[in-house]
Amino acid sequence: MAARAHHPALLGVGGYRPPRSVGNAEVAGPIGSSDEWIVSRSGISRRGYAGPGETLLDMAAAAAGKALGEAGLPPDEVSLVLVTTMSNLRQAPPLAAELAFRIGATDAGALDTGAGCAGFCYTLAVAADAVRSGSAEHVVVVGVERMTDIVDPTDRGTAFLFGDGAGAVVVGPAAEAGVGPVRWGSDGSRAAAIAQPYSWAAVRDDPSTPAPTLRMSGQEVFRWAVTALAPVAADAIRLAGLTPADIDVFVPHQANMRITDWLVGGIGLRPDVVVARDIATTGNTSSASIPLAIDRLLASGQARGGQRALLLGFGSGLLYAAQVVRLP
Amino acid sequence: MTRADEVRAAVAGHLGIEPERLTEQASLSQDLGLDSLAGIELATALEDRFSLRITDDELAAVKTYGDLQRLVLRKVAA
Repeated sequence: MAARAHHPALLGVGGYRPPRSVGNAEVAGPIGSSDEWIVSRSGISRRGYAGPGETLLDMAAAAAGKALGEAGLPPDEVSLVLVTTMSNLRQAPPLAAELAFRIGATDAGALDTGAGCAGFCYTLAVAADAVRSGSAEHVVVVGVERMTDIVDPTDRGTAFLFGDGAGAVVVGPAAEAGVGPVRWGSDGSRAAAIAQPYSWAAVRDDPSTPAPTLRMSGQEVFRWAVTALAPVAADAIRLAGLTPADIDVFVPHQANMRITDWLVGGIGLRPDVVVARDIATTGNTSSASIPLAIDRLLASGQARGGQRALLLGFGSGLLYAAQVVRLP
Repeated sequence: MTRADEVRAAVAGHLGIEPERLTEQASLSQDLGLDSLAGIELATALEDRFSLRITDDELAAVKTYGDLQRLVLRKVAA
């Protein structure tokens, strides 16, 4: 009855970016802001906005299909499909079931997970453990978001930050471990820092109630990020049996360029470490940001397969998770 | 070097400016060009440098370099 256990590794990555790229001028108007203010606060110049025809399922399927192609894996060999998102407005059916069917993984297990902007690192850890234990041989992990569905374009704290898109990886067995142990955790005392202020039930009970769009205490989150996360990253590096000098590529959740800059110094990474800065043209795509950033680093040649990358997810919860991986 | 000099040197070093610009009345936002996130970055750097903790309320009350230096010196002495 023993399942075959394996070393988990990333076998492929794929991304989907909506064709509609929106510059700062367009989002600045409704919040009385400017291109200069947005760039200086966040490092963001553009972000992708999905149209009505680009559903979560469509974007997730596009990203997953690319990742499977990169991995050279037929979809019927996928044994588990994990989808992480914070912007699915439907509770049922689970998105992962539809996605498994859409990509041709017709008999795969399927599960939606929710861990906000930390969702990708959390779900990658679950996928890696499934491969490690033998519960699954090949796992597709997709982070997908239509943040435009849950963000208020007139909210000065969030409107300029977020974008839409999907990123996917294939996790499967390899001769040597390519996904290190996860360092994950939470600080629920800060649950209100990035949150919908009330439930959709309030809208159900009184239809004149506005939709519960995302609200963020930007300064609280920023301060938490620059103090709490570097030790988490250091733990993940140590759990992988490495030191900061061993890290070739740093892929933090693309929350804010200034948080990224701070973390590079705070973790003590090498001066020549490659740092993901996909946020500049993609915005903050929550759970999709890390696989999208990996996809861009590899596609642009800034990083290459086999390099050691530190992944660090963090956000609503507040939640955080980090692990070291070998890039596919 | 006095503790006040150490604080001034640390702030000047963090901001990459001449210590002489850090006058008592220098406004962090108007004169030194710090936005709210830069203020948090500076406070975090000072926390690390002097092994102290600045609360959100204390930071919000800081308007000038003089305010900041007094706060840090009080914390260091405590």
